[in-house]
Amino acid sequence: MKNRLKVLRAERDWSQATLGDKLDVSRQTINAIETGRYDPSLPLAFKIARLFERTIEDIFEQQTGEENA
Amino acid sequence: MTSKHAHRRYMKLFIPAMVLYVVSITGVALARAFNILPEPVLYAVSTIPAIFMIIWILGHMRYIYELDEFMQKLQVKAILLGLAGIMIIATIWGLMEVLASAPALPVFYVVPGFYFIYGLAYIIIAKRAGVKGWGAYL
Repeated sequence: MKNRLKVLRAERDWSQATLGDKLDVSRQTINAIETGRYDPSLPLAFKIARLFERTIEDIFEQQTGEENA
Repeated sequence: MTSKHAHRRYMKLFIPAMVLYVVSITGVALARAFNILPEPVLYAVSTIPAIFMIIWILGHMRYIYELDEFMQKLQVKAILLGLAGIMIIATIWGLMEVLASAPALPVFYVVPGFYFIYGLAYIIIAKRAGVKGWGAYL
């Protein structure tokens, strides 16, 4: 799943650690989400969306071929 | 709670429990070697290391609960690989003992064997997940 987390974080000039603190997750988790190595759970995705005042669809985008994955 | 805090809490419990585990095992082994204790007492004393093991296992469980979802996923994967590895080795060696007269290995080695495989698995899984250096543990 592609996401705009890195862009949104950069717009606010937050480090991965800062964003991690705001979301109550580790810096490693933020890095894994940003690099597409990990797709967050629905509660975490909602938390991210609320923090950036966007919808989940604004931040996360399903890539082609993922529908049946 | 951050992973760092969870790790610190885990280490506060794990280190003393591990020290007491090693000390109690050494004590039991020495008591056996020097015939200090009668056989029935040795049976009873042999359960003491398990008390400290239970403490560190409960600490490990608490640690996993306190991690965030991604770090939990890495831990669970490593634990599954540790379990799979030790079960495969125990099955193969057990069958070799039963069917081919291989020397009997003490069941005691199952726990250190599990933690060895789990530790190795975690290092590899964390590296593949892009968690580098001490960040994997803190």
